[in-house]
Amino acid sequence: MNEAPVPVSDMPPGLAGGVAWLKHTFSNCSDFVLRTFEIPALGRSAAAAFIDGLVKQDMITEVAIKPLLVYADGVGADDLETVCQRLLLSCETVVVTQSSHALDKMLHGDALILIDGMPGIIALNARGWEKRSITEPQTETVVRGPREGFTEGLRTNTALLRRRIANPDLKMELIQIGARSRTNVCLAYMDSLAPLELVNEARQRLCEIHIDAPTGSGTLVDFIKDHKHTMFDTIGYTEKPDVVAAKIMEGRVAVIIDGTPFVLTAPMLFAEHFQTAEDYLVGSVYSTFLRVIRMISFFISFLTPALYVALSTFHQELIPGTLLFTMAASAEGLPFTAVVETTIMLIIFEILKEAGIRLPKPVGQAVSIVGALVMGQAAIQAGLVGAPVVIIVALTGVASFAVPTLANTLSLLRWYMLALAALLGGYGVMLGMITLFIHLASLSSFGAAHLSPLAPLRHADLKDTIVRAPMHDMVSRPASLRPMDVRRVRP
Amino acid sequence: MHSKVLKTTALIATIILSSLALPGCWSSLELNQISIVMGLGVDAAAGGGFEVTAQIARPALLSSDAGGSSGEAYFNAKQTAPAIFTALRGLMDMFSRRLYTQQCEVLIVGADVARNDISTALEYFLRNEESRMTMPLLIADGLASEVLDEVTYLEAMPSIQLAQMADNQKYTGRTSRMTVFGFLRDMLAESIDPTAPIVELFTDEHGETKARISGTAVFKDNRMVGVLSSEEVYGMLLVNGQLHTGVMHITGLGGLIELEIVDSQTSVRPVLANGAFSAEITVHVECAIVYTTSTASINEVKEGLVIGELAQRELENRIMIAVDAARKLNADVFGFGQMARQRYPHAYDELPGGWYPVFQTMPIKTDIQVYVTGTGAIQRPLRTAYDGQVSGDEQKD
Repeated sequence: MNEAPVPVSDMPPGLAGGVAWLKHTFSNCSDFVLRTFEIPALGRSAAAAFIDGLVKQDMITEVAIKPLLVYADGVGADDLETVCQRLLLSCETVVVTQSSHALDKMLHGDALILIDGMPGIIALNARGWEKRSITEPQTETVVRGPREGFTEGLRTNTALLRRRIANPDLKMELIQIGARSRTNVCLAYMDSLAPLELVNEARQRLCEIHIDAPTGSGTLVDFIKDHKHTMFDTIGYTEKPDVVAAKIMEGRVAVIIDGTPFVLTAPMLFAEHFQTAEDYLVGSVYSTFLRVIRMISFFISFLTPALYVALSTFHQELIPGTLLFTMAASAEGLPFTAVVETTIMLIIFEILKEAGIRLPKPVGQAVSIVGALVMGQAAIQAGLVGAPVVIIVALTGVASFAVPTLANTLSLLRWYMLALAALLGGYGVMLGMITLFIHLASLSSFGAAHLSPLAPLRHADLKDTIVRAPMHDMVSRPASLRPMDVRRVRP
Repeated sequence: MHSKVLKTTALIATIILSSLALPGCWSSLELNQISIVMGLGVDAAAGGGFEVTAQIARPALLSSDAGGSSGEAYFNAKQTAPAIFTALRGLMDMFSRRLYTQQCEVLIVGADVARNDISTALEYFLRNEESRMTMPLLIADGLASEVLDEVTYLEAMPSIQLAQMADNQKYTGRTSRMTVFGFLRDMLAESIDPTAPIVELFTDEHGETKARISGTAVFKDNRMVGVLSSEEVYGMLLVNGQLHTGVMHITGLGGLIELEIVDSQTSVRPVLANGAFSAEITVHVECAIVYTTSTASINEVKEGLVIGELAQRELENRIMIAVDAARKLNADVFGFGQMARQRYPHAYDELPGGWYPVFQTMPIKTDIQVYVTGTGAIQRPLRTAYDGQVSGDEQKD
């Protein structure tokens, strides 16, 4: 401590000066609390300042004010350092001399203790605020997996992670983002697994974010992703600590942001959309089957409206005869063309989806029932749209939720393919697929090719792509992520 | 570096954009803008040209919830014109919708056209990109338009029934199965003469006019020159490898034995020896006994061999019946000539009188193996037990 150059304090001298400074800084802040008291043993007056709601008040009384009032007699504390060392023993304390530093500590939940005639301020960790308890994540429910989900508290989240990886190799670098909000962000990675250039790159990208206040994980994603103009996520997110732990163990980095239960992971591969936490908990054959189902759902979700339009308006010869009759029969007397019908139903579906999410739960259910059943049925009976379109749109919507992380992207992709199909038929669909895959192949995420291990092809990584090999067969970590230690299963 | 990327991007964009013009068909058609043609009939018109009959589906009456609407699920529209295309376009003068022939299930050519020159009818289908070449080709005994008017029992419209009927021939082995494409392929090839099933009309027990497959038309030089009966066509199908399942009757072992062909493999090899062509036909047939009036214990190896030998003689006989019938029409329905040409092109080209004199006289050598691989669900003839000739011991096992 002696070696460190003591910076020149910029704080106003004396207790009165300090108190005046704090009062001025926190004017009109109703949650700011300042208490002054006398320390008879030292013959000095003192003050404690903290933000109401961020600290445990009884803890301040117990660990700071009570020792100062009761035990200070004869201790011989002349400066704040000795006060901390001899009196305030039962909690984490630090003596700060910089006003900005002190404010920062206080705003993140520390209590400040000022003592007359002693330069500096004691920042005392008595953090404790109301927080949501750990609950099961709403977005990623599992049948056989752990039920814990991240919360909004950064420390809770880091603890959840640390409980899964009891290893000092798990590094958690704290970075403050947000010029005004000073949000704490934690970069977590395994020192012995994550490649150095990945960690450096991630740290640099996080440090280069200059915004007022990141409001959530999505805000940061926009700043740190490789490609600014793509509708595909190249950074993963999850609410589940076990998933983050698994990703970190493959050599990825995680970004935990204070105030949001969603933790970002990078690099993110396209194949991750088809993987779920459950995959590794059920048998490998069954999870492979589920992955194939998810991939089929992916294609169904953005291709079916386009294929329907292409087949029914350009390539009627490709439809089996009996089906063609059914389709032609339902097309009799319909006022709109196939593409207009599909557009109407897709828009209705998007409206129902959006309304269903935002509305209060009980109302939401009513809306979905009215919307899905009544409107779909009524639209057909009124002769507004054909039955096949309703089936197609329903299938499309349901299928997109089989790959939840892609659902938003798929909603957009659907329109792109539909437009191409309406203009160019099956040829347009092929064109759309080609451009889609070109785009996907051009994406990268923190240096890893987004489509790997499929493109570029890495045979070893295929064990966890379409097929989920048995755990004992997945000997190596994904090479696409360039981990520092490749083997994860040892004979 | 930057300009190189730009150039490559521009090149790829140009290729993709210019290929937009390739599909050729910009115009889309809604399902309620087309009339789906399910069957086409081509007859000779009285004053020359063709009378084209199009069987058009009425989907609203086909679907399951047709409701109270009544009427047939199809209608036949006729148009006479000098050419088929003109006739089809002429049909559009009468309809609100565009004719859509790509779902066409069957093409029926009337006897007049077939006897005169079938190529005049088929030329359009070969040339038009939108034809469905895999539809079965049938030759009407009389008028194609009348065949398309037949009464159906199970299917919604005659063309579907006719297409299924033609397809069923793979189980019965009573006529050849021929698609428009297959027919044209044989017709255009040298020294193979195409065949096509004949469909005739008859009045059934309810007094309704029905169509049925009867006989096989043989074509030579684009003209229908004769008919092979189902007896005669059997050997042809066997040689052509089309007889995958079929029935054969033999008499032996003191009764009638009916065999079902389970699998058959045929290879035909033309041989040129001492300047003379001959054909070697190797047939391997697996069959099962489906019925017998014989009282012999047919599950024994010895009897199996006897049946096999009888069947072999029967098949040899059948092939020779087919060859004789074809020779009578001077039509190489087996494609011996084509095979000879492929194997011995020079010798073939130097044939003085062309292939047909050779076809008339060439020796046909057959090597037929028949294996009886099954006796059905029972081993012994039922009649043995009925007659009480089986001892109690034998019945137990």
